[in-house]
Amino acid sequence: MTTSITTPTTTPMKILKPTLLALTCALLLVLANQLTQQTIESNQRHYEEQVLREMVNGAELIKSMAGYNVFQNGAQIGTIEPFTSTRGYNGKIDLLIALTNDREVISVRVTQHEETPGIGDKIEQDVSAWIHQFAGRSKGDTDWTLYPGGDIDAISGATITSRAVTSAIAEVLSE
Amino acid sequence: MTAINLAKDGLWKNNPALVQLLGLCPLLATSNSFATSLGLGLTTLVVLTLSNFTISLVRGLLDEETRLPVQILVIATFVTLADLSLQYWFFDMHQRIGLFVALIVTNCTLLGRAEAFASKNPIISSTFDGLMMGTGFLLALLLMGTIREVAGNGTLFTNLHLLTGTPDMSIHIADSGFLLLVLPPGAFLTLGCLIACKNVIDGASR
Repeated sequence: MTTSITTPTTTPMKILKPTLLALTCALLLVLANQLTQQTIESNQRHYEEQVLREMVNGAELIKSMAGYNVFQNGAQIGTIEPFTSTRGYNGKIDLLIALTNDREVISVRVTQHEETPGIGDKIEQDVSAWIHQFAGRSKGDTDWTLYPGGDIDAISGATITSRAVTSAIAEVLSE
Repeated sequence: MTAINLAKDGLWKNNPALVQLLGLCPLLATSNSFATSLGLGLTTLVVLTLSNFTISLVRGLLDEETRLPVQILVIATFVTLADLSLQYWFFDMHQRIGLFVALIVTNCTLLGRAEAFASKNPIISSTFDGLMMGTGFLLALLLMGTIREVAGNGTLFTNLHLLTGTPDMSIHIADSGFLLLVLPPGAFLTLGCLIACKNVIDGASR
């Protein structure tokens, strides 16, 4: 068989040099991982805890089956329950809902969503104060539909998003 | 190549974002606010400078067949290190740009400079080239971030405190803006306008 392509010659050095470089890179990464792992994990925990504690004004939290139990001065005052709405405009909306023992809303946070940036993302507390209107409401004292007709102010331009969050909270309250 | 030429090349004449059109994915995705632009731009700058330095350092060890994989390996190593550092020092910021930090490895500016410059030039000029190209990329990114945040959202410097560790320094300019600019099409429109502006300036000075 005739070959017109010159096959590259492989010498041990040609293999050894990149292998050594790759090993150096791998070692460097292992070392960096070892050095940073603990702090990164504690950063992660701290970040999540901060979000949760802010929801219940700094009360104590103990993880429960579904979410968290909220304690103050040794007595349970409420719960934080996760809920996922599948009725968002672009996909799922993950919520955390803090409730008192009487199932009155303490606060609500959106933890993950795919809503339109600049419109539907106003459900994030970092973007607008919209999510705060649910605080203090309970199942009986509120008409859980959008204004006009209901008691909840919608985000203009994001009716579907507003409705998804509102009905998700109403659903949790009815459980 | 003199230092002045390298600087001119990276910052203006051969700007990676506005002329070479490299690294568009992170450029378009993270330029919707000043803070994310600064975060990703600085990370890219650091990674590009370090990878150019390293590749120039080991250029004697490499040959035709293994050069590209080794270059990518070096870049990927630095990107991973940058990713870990961000999670270590700026966790809140990492929550916002983390996805795109990993994508720096696919930023063609990095492999482009490694292959076209660092693998053929001495350490000092390669490092300087990385620094200048990175700065050119950072400046283009910041310009886009500023335009898109101000015109699209009516704010500036939102979330910047996550990077600087100082109190919130966001400036509120208007209640709302021209929303399209914050959305993905706005990234293309803004970049197109910037390239057009650059070409007008170049044409006028010719």
